[in-house]
Amino acid sequence: MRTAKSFFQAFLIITMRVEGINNGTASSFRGNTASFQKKFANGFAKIDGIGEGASIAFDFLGKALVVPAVIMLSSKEPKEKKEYSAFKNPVAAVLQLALEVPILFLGSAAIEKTANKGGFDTKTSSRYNEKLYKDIFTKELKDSFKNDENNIKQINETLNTIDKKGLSRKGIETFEDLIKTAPLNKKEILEKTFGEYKNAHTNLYHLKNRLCFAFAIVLTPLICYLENKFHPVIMDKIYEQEHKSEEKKHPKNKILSKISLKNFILQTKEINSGGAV
Amino acid sequence: MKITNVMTNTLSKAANSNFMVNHIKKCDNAKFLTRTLLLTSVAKDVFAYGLRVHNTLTNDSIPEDKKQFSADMDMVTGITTAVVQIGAGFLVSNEKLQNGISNKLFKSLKNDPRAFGAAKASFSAISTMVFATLLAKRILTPLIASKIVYKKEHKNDAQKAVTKP
Repeated sequence: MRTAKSFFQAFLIITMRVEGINNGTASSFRGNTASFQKKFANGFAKIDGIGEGASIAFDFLGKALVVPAVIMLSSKEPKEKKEYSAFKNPVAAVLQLALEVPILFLGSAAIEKTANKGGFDTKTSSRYNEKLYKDIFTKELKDSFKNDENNIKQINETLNTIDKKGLSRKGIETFEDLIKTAPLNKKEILEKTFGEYKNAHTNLYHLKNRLCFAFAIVLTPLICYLENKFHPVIMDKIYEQEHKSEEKKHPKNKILSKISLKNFILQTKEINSGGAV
Repeated sequence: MKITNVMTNTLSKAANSNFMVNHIKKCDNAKFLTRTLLLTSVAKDVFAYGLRVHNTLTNDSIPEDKKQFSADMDMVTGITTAVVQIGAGFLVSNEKLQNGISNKLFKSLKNDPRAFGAAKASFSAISTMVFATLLAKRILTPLIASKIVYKKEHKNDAQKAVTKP
């Protein structure tokens, strides 16, 4: 409850500061703040597609950097013990990234390809077939603007970008603006077909995220197995390196290191029995 | 070829199941989408920590003196991370809180409802992830977990000191 309260307070402080800055008297300062705020807002408006990819990226950053630092700084256990537990996280983070990212990219591409070929179509629905609805919409759109060279050029440019990067927020806005200027008798069909295209795009996007999550869950035992296998090996290497560098810093006296109690006793015995020294 | 067909059919059944279709319909709502991302992240963590506890305890290559501490740390971290992340994520993704912050931060976009909506949805998802998966999960969780494990490890220290001759 206290944690919740402190989060709420932190948010209030941030927003109050922004408000406070806005109410400042220095006009140049106010101008700069307004411009920064505008850029900040536009930046957020342009962000597209926060899904499993973003979740994996945040997870990696936290696991690889933040957790080891917090364990090392907060735990009162001996240094070596803390290190052993703390270093498990970067090992896990790297393994997770190495396995999850290819799965996310390759899995997403495979799902998209299958969906666009009609692999997920049923007798009654093609809700994930983005290509089907895109083709229907673009045919209608080009048909509506067939006598307008400028708009046809813009449509083709936008379609090229979509083919390379997928339907982005900017692409949606361009099409929405075009539909507004379309001939009256075409507006209704364009709005309907574009709505279906957007729906299929969103459906496919969420499907990819959920299936990739399912793949990640299936992959978790393998990640844990590898982490369990490599963590002790990596820690042994780290400790080995540490001991070597420690020896370099404080080298033992070569003559002294050769002297041992066992040798001394053996040699004394030999002398006493008349053996060679 | 046959394996690909079986996989496609299985995925198609999953994709067209009532559960998935209804779930995807609900994803239009920014709050629902943000919370889904949060819960999937928590589910992965809890599952992974459970496996780690088991693996650590059965791994003979981990030195005995470090094995119990490492396993305890994983178990307590798994439980704490679920509680802390869900608490922080649900709080930050609260609609009233998000509306209040968005109205202040994205004032300049008020005249453009399309851009305002987009900025608000992005901010909701990012702020929830930063608070839940970076601050709560990665800072609060280890702080709480390491304190709990330390207390557990040193629970009998005072008693041992008294009983020592």
